Amino acid sequence: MKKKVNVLQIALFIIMTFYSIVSLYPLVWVVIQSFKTESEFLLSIWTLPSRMNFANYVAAWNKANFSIYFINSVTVTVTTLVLVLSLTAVAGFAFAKLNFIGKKFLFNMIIVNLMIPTAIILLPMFFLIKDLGIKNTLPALIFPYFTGTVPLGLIITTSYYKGLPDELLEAARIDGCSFFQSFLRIILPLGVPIMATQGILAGMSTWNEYMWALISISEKSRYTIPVGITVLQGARDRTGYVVGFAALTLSSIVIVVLYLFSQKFFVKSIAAGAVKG
Amino acid sequence: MISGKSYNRSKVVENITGLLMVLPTVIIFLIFLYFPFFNAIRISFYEYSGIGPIVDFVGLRNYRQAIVDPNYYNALGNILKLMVIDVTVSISVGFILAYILFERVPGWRFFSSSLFIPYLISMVVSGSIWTIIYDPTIGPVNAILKMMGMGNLARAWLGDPGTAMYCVAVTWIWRVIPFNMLIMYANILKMPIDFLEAAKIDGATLVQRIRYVIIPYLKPTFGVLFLLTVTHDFRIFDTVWIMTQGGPARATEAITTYIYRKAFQNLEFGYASAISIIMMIMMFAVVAIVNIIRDRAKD
Repeated sequence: MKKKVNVLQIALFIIMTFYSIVSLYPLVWVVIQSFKTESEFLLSIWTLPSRMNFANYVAAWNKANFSIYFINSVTVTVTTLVLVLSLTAVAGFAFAKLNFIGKKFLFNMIIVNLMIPTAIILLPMFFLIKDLGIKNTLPALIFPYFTGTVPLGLIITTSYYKGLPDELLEAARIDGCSFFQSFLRIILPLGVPIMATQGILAGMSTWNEYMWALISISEKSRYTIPVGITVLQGARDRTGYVVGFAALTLSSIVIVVLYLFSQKFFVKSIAAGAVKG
Repeated sequence: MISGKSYNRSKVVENITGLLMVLPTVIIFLIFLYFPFFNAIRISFYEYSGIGPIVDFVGLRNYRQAIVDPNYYNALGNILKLMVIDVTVSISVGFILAYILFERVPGWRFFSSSLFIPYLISMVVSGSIWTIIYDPTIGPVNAILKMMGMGNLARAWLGDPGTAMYCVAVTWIWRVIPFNMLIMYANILKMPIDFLEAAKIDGATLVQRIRYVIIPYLKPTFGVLFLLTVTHDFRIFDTVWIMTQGGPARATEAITTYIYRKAFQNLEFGYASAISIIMMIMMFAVVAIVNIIRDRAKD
């Protein structure tokens, strides 16, 4: 019996190893190439770099404007997250614990966006930001990202706040807390884990978003990373392949490092998002 | 609820407080979702080149044009191809990997965390990476084929209408397999352990255990993943746009890339809106059908 299990385990281990190599090798390959010189790369795509050579990263960062794209992406993601997390916490709490006219209708009106494909909104949104005179500005990105990420966040936040016992707030009220005091001092601190979950989901989709950024941003100095990457790939003849590899690595490193440091939480968040969505 | 039930005054306060708390979100949704959404429906009844006021009302012409547009059906066909591949391959491979993790193979911790990385990386980056991998001159795919003495199979993978869609599908699936794995793994772990123990004691083989215990247990999960996969495939844009822009010869055209092309390259905004609305209706229909089937299956 014991032996049989071992054979099975070895077979499964081999399958797993094979899949891992196929799946992860493309990424490892890109990272390896990013340390080579262009001539080393063109000579052979299989060799290791002769030495750790960060010149490509410096070139991508400075000459290929990656620093600008990076700062733009950080700005867009951070402002979107601030807006999304604060307004969702407030609205989620109201939907969970207060009774008001039109509650159900308003809630559905927000979450229905989970069903509406972005492709429909893109064209009229393009005219809207032109009419509002916000083309190529930060608001042109953050508001659409807001409507894109709030629905899922609102569902998980509302159900989280619903799970908090009413007695908690009752007790705070008896102790003399005003409504807003109890919201700020009791509810928000308790809501930190769910905000972190929502932050991961919303942050990832904002950081990686491409389609809308491609349509709404035409000024090069305003590009976010995904759009900037495509520019870099297009300019390969001039900048060389290896600089492109460095840029691809740079643009993914933030999320991968964040993930490696808070893996369990990442995985839990993404699973929560999937089940509710 | 929280302001006490006895005072009328506090009910009014509660109403006002609640509405004020949701108001900012609702206003943003009205401006940046509902206004454009209804505008899309309106534009779909017009001919509009994107400049000036929207005046050329054409009734249902855009819709009539769409339902006989061979390019639209071509895009739909490509998406269906992608769905078939995605549903069968990514869900089954995801399941196998999830099961292997569940069996606690040596190194399962390492596998479970590292395998997830492709899902975190943006589709723009993964699309760019795979474009280079398929590259006819410097790409590893052709290089490996040549090393293995199968150089005659080497080709411009993304430039060949016969292979391009499959190459895009590989990239797409490569990214979602870890996600499917994660969701199924999380759900296998929730399975009451005596289910499996009982089956083991009854002498069930591995295949029997998977077939009669684990798969039936995961049925709802498969349903959710099926729905997520199908709706996700409908929306594919980034990967296609980065890798092929819908080419060669429309072999990888997706509905979204077709909408994008019609709108921003051909300036047929009315027609593009009509296609996008047809796409939404089809998605609703698919979701409704899947839900009906799922409800039936529950009874």
